[in-house]
Amino acid sequence: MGGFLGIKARSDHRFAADNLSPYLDGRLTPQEKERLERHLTACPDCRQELSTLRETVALLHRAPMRPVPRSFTLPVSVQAEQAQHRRWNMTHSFMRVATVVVSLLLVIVVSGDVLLGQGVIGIPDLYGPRAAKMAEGQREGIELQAAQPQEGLTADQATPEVQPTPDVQALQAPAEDAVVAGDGEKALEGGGESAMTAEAQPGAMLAAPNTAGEQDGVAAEEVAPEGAPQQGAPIARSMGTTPASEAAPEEQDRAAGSPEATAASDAAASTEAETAPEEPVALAQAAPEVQAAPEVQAAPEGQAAPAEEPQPTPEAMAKQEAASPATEGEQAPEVYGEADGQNAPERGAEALTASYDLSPVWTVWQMLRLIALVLGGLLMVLIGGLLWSGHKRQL
Amino acid sequence: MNEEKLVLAAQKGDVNAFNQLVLDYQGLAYNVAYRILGNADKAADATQDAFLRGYRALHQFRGGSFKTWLLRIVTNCCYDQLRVLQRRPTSPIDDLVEDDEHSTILEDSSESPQEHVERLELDGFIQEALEALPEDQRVVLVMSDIEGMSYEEIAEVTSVALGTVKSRLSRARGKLRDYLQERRELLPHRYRL
Repeated sequence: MGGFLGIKARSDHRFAADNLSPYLDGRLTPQEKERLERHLTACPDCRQELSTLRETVALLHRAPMRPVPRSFTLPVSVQAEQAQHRRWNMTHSFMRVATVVVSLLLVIVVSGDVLLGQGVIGIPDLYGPRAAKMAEGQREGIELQAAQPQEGLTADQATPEVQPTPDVQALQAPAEDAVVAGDGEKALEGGGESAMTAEAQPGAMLAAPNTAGEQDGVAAEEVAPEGAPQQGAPIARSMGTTPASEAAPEEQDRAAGSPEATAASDAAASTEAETAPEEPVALAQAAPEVQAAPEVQAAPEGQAAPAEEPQPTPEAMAKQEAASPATEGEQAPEVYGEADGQNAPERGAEALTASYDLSPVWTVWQMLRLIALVLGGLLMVLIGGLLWSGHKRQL
Repeated sequence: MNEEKLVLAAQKGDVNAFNQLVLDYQGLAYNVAYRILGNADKAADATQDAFLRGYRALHQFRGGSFKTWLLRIVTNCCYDQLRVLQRRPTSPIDDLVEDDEHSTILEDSSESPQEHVERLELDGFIQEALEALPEDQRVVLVMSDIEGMSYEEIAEVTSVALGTVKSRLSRARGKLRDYLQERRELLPHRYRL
């Protein structure tokens, strides 16, 4: 054979060299064992290797067993310690979970707050339950004005101030929103134009007296066909009731409006006058804003020009002035209310009440902030508890 | 009580039941710790630590071999000690000589004094040789050839695969053999390879 080692022989040798140890422990499969033993017969090196390994293991088997230096049993006190330890462990786990949950809630609430602020999410009642009512009231106010163009003031445009007494009475009913809504709805029913007018009017009012006046005219025109709404009666009513109003709205300028309104609302004026006292009070609360002022100015003019409605006009104007609501939108209905005397005050009153009712009502914003604050405080407490219980359970 | 019942009772918090288990296993635990650490005091600390940890962690024991579960804790405590341990500049033989308060080696009544001394020397020698091995090989060799544990038990204790146990053991034995062969003159005659 010489020094020649075949490939197979080499691999067998490699295999044997690597597997002598498990072979000693009897851990080879029958095939592996056979292969190794066959190689051993031919390889003195591996036989030597196996021999020394065997002796080493035997030597290790002879290593003496050392006796324990002492007893390692535990004192009985560990039982109580363990119970306490368990309790701290459970507390800690609970704190961990609670902290995670509260943190998540806080993130959600704060995100919601931010998203709402950016308008990503919309909530109809965002500014409070009254807001919607007020908006409605404004719309109705506008409609009413449209019906009562005589008042002249831009505010009057939308609100059908010249309403029959019953209407006014109804409006004055405490159910601000309901009434407003009812009026608005009626007006709407009476004619979509009224609504349109109402919309146009608030915008006009906000802009400037002039603009308002224009819109009034427009509104008046729009309303005129319907007739009734602009006369101060609820749109629906005005439509039905005031042919005269039709003429009146058309004539309306800011100044002109008054006379017409006055004329139409003469009838209502008396009623309005009755209600006026109520309105001014309410209206007075709402500081007349720019719009109110111009309207007031327009009113006087309107009043002066038309001799028709000396009374209602001043009253209306007064009302309007007093009525101007805190917000522009509110002003419109209130102003209108003034002009109407009846409708306006009611509207104004409604608007006022609506605005003042906001204070005790929690808006969504406020609730979110409050919740975030509570969660934040809770989180701090939990983190403190987490650290403390974590410390205690290590002991 | 058999072991299973003892374990169950101990899991409910019965310290006395657990102490019975301690008495059963402390010899094994201490010797493994000593062979791994090479120092009697550190081995005692590791053993006590292991039993205390075992009692506290009993709720995690879900059946199977209590022996391998316990030894796993013991080896972990040994690893902790190894990180902390400052190797004392004494040889294991010095260690044996110093421990004369208690018998360090079990006496074999059939031994002659000569044989006894030689066994002491061997013990020291083996320990020295063991400490020359890398830790993971040492652990496997101690459990297999000194404590007679199977490959499977070792795999459970060390949490490695069976093949890893085989190869580690193979290398450990070869290294130890080489160590002993290089110093064969130091070995008592009867033990020379």
